Amino acid sequence: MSCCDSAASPSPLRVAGTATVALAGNPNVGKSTLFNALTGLHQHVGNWSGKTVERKDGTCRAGDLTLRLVDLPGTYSLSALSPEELIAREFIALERPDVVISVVDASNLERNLYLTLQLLELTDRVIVALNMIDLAERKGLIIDVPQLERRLGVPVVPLVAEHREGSAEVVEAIRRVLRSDKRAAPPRAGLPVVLAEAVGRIASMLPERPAGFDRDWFARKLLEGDGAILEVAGRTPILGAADQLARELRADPQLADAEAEVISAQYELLSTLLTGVVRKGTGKLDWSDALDRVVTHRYLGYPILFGVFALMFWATFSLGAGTPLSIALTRILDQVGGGLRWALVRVGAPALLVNFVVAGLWAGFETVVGFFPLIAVFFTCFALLEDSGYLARAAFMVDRFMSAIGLHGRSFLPLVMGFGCNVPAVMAARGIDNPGDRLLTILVNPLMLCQARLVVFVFFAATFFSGWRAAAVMLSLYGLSAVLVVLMSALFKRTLFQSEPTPFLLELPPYHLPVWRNVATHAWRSTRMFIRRAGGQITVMTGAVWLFTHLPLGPVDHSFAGRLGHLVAPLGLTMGLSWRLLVSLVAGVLAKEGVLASLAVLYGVGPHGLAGALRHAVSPLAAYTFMVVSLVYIPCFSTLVVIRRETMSWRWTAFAALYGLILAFVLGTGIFQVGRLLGLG
Amino acid sequence: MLAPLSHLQPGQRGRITRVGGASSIRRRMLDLGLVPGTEIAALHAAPLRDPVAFLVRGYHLAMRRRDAEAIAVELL
Ligand SMILES: Nc1nc2c(ncn2[C@@H]2O[C@H](COP(=O)(O)OP(=O)(O)OP(=O)(O)O)[C@@H](O)[C@H]2O)c(=O)[nH]1
Ligand SMILES: [Mg+2]
Repeated sequence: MSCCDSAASPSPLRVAGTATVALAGNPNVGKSTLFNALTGLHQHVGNWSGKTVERKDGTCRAGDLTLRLVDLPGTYSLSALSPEELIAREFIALERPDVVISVVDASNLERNLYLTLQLLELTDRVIVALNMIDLAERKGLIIDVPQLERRLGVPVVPLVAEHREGSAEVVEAIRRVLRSDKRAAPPRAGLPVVLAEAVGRIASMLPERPAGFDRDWFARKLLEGDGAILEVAGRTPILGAADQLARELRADPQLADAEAEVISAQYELLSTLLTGVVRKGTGKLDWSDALDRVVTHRYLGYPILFGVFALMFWATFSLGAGTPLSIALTRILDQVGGGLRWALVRVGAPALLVNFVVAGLWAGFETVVGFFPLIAVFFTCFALLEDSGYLARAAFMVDRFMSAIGLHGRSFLPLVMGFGCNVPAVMAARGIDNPGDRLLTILVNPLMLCQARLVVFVFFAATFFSGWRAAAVMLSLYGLSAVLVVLMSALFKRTLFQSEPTPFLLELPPYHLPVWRNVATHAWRSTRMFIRRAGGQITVMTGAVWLFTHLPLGPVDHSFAGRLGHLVAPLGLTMGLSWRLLVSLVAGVLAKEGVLASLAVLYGVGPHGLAGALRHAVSPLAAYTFMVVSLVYIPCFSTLVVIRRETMSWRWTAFAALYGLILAFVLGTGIFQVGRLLGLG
Repeated sequence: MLAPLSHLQPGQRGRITRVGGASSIRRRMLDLGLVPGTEIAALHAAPLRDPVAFLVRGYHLAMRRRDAEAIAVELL
């Protein structure tokens, strides 16, 4: 549902055509929530900073007006210290959207409006969306909206994006801004005289729109020594002279602290602007603080953290597998498979084709998709954790450990996201300012045991071990995953990224009662991706594996897969892995759940025969070795693609794949050999 | 009395007098509103005493002690 539909109520003055509207603001202020409310899309929403890391587009129709909405990553300023800031800044400065909605957290106005001031330096077509009015009320803050509007000189719209309150008014304000040409002059912080002079001198040497930016703004950024702007100036010969002058001026001791003075001046301006606008009434956000004292308590903090994650995994296993729902699902899938066979035979399809469709494609799909309840439960739990604000506290508490291995507390969030899926997790690493730490977090992320591998492990654990042993096996795999992340980080940090420690500055947002809509859409999006993979990549892959195992016709050993298997078989000798297991790993690169699907095909059994076939052919020790190897051996294809995109380097992408392979071989051999010595084989 | 921000005990308040440190770190802190003259209070520390959560300009910001050392405050 899109709110704009309701906003299309008759209004005498409508602007026809299309307009581009950007949503900018601090992290975690509800930009994506408003974006979703306006467009009816489902962008990632949760209660921690730095979820949206790239711009997302959507459209919103309001009568004859079409709005192209752009959800920008959250930033505290436009100073280009991180990729998100650059994305936001370049979009606003260079693509010049028709309207910029500056989304602010009403309960935290000063810091939020600091960014608004920076936006106002770039454009005067700004609307302030005063979000989280409910939270401000909970804190006992009373905001005089008309007064704020007058002082800022731009429309201010109060709203509660989470409850879809006020989005129609936002659209109305967009119309107003589009209609009028005259706007009040925005408030500007006065620069200290020496500074203003220096900026003027630099600006006079610049063309009208240097590299597409506003002239005065560009001059000031040159003076501040803004990295991205210096780079632009360096690349463009005609800007070189101004750059040179700025360099000289920066050396002037009077201007050395220009940056700090500009920022202080802006904050001073803000406190003047807000005097009389925000009044403190009664009411305090005490339960959030009280909860924090318990949750991060000296002695209780870690036990609670452990308990929360244990509860999440317990719920995943006990609610996700073996429930009436999953049993019913399997039955239905079986029926469909049977029906498919019947129908194909009925239309006189050749036996080979029937087999291909039923024992190949369908069996592969069924093996994987049966795990859908487990996936759904996990992602629901995770979304609850995220939307409550607890994840930010978890990052706060484990930072001490992260810093011990040379990682940043901020790395924790991408890492825990890896429990779900490594693809968004690798992208979430963008929230880390330091390039070395960011790369490190990306490289170790595939070691986090994701849901795709979980599906394989749950199946193997249930097939080879029973009762507490199965649980211990699962626990050991999670433990191994965490230990490997720590060890590899420490190793890489020592050898590859000896960088300066970066500051850890993490906002702890107030706790938030999870909203069913966020939780449901979030869980649904991830689950749908899983089902899509099962229906897409995995079906294609099992189809291919089936063809390779059946062609050329004859015994499996002579098929393409068999020949490939015999070729790679020596690799598996020291790890006790048969050629079928190895070939399934090759197939699993495309999508890790596919390991199961291709095993079903390689053993020539359906989804229900796989457990029996595996028990017959593989020893428990080899099965455990196989699990460890498939945990580390190579990131899946989608993860590799996103690693390449995020690091913009083939070298690092290849490195991510290679170290995994080597590590898998070493661990696999070690575990299998030691296990045999202990007489477990 | 002047002290580094890292010395603030939970419950204590101070007023920022100077923000030091490497330039990019410093810029980030200034952007977050930690400019000279701002009041800041220590709230609670993580279980292993580091990092520490501070209340500044009405929001909660967690910082490592090492980073907080670069900020000088006047105890209130
Ligand atoms: N109390 C309250 N919470 C809100 C409101 N709007 C959004 N939220 C919550 O605020 C949190 C952050 O919302 P998002 O939309 O993800 O914020 P964002 O600005 O896109 O965040 P980033 O992408 O990380 O920069 C979520 O937990 C939302 O449910 C509101 O009006 N009131
Ligand atoms: Mg967002």
